[in-house]
Amino acid sequence: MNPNVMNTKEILEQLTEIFHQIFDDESIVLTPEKTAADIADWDSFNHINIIVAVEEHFGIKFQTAETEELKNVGHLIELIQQKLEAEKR
Amino acid sequence: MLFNSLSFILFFLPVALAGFYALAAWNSRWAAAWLVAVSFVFYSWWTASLVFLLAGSIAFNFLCGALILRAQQREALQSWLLRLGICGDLLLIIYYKYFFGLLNWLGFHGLISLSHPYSVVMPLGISFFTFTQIGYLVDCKGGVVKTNRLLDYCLFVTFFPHLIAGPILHHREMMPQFADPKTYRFRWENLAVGTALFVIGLFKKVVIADYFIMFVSDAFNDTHGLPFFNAWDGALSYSLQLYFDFSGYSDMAIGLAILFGLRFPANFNSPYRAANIIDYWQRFHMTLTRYITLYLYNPVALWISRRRMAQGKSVSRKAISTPEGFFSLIAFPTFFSLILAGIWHGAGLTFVVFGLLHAVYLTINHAWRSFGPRVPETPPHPVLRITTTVGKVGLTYLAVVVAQVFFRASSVRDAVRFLKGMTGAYGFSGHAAEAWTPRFINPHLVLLHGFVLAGLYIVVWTMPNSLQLLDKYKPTLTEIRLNSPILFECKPTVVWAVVLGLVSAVALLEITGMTEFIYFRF
Repeated sequence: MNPNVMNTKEILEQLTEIFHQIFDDESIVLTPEKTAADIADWDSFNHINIIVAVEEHFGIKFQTAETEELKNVGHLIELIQQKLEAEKR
Repeated sequence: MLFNSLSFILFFLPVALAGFYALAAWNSRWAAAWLVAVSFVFYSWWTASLVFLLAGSIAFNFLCGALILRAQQREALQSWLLRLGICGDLLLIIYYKYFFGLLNWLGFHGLISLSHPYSVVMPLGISFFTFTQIGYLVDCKGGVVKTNRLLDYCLFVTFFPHLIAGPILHHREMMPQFADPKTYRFRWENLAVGTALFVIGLFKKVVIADYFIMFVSDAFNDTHGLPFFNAWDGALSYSLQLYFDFSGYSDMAIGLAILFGLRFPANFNSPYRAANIIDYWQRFHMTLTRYITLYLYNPVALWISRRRMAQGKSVSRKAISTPEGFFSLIAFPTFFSLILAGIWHGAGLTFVVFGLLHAVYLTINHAWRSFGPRVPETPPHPVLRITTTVGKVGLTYLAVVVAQVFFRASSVRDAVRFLKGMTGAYGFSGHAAEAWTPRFINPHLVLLHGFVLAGLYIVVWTMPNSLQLLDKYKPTLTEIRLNSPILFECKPTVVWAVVLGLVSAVALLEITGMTEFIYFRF
C-alpha cells in the first residue's frame, strides 16, 4: 500500500470531525460498522451534506451512483482511500 | 397476466418454474434465456403487439448503454449519448402517458379544436421499465456498470415478477445474482420462503384490499354533499386498500423472485407507522424513493452544494438556518423531485397536487429539524413517551391520508370537495347519507365494517410485517429493521404450516381474476 495515503484510523478521525460539524453533535462516535440507521438525523438530506463535506475535505469527487452504495462508515472510508490512491497515481 | 389469477398460479408459474430448474440443471444460460422467454409471454398476455414496444425499448437502451461504455475515455461524447438515450426514453413515455391527456385537455378548454377525444392504449409497466433503464444508462456513464451481456440485460428488464409494477431494481444489484451459479441451484428453502411470501401477498390483495373496492368507489365517485362519516370511511378505506394492494403486490413480486433463487430490494416497511414524513418515504414504495433520491434529488442537491462550496458559501447546519440557505439547499431540491415524483404516477393535476403536498410536508419536516426547538428523542416519562409517539404517528398519518385523497380523486375539484366533506361541511350522517350509500342501510353491516377497519389498523400499527416475519431467511436485499418480538418469527413448524395453509386456501377461494393492482396504471 502507498505510504502517502492516509490509513483507516486517520480517515475515521477526520470523518468524525466532519460528522460532528454536520450534525452539530459532538457526542457522535463513529465506528466502521455504523450505518445511516444508527445515527438519528442521517437522512438523504444530511447524506448529501456528508458527501459534499467529504469531497471538499479530501479533495475528491464521487460519482452519483457511488453516493448511494455507501452501506456504512467503513465502506465510506474504503471509498475515500480508493479515491485518494487514484489521485496519487 | 395477473399474479392474482388462477391461470397464473396454476398454469404459468408451475410451467415457468419447472422449465427454469430443468434447464438450470443442464445449463444456466439456457435457464436465463427461458426466463426471458416466459417473461415476454407474460407481457404479451395483455396486448400482444406491445411486446414489440418492450423489445424495442430494450434494444434501444442496450445499444445506448453499449455506446456509452465504449466511449469510456471521452467524457463529452458520453454525456451526449446519455442525453440522447434519456430523451428517447422520455419521448416514449411522454407519448404514451401524457401526450393524449394534454391534447384532450387543450381541446376540452377550447385551446385547440379536436373532433373527438383521442386516446392510446398505455403499455403496462411503461413507467417502471423505462425508469429502470434510464437508471441503467446513468450507471453506464457513472462507471458503475461493469458487464453488459445482452441476455442478462434482457433478464434484468423483463423478469416478470417486477416487470409491471416494480420493485424498481438497480442493474448492479441484479447482475451479480444472474452471474452467480448458486442462483440456478434448486433449494427447498427458496420454494418454502417464496411461496409463503407469495400467499401472504395474495391474501393481502384478494381478501383485504379487494374488500374495500366498493366502499372506496362509492365515496369517490360522487363527492357531492359527502357527509362526514362517509368521507372519512372512504378516505380510510382507500388508505388501507392502497397499502394492502401495493404491499401485497410487492410481497408477491419478492416471493416470486425468491422462487427463482433471486433477491429483490424491499419495497414496504410498515409505512403507516412512520413518526414523520421523512421516515414515511423511507418506508413506503421504498424503491421509488430510492430511485428518486439517487437520480433526481441527489444530483440536484449535489450540484447546488458543490456550486455553493465553489462560491465560498457554507453548506453546514448554520447555512441551512438562513432563509436563503434553507431554500436552495433543502426546499428547492425537495420540490423539484417530489413534483416530478407526483407526475410520474400519471398525467393529471391531482398527481401534481399530490407531489406538491408531500414536498410541503417534507419541507416543513426539515424546517422543524433546522429551526424548531431541540427536544430529546425519547422523553423520560413512559406516559409522555407513548403520547408523543401516538401524536407523531397520528399527525404523519393524517397528512398522508389528505394527500391520498388527491391521489385517488378524479379531479382536484373532487378532491377538495371530498376534503370539505371530511371536515363535516356537508353534515355528519343521517338519512341523506344512508340513502346515498345503500351499503350502509343495514346497521349490522356498519358495525361489521367498523370492526374490520379497527382490526386492520391494529394489524397495520402493531403487528410485524411480512418481511419481518420471514427475516430469518433474508427475503430481501435491503435489511428491514426488526422491532417485533421473536414470537412472530415464521418458522417451518406445524402451526405455521396450518396458518399459511389456511391463508392460501382462503386467498385462492377469493380469487376472481377480475381486479387489477392499483399500481398497474402507473
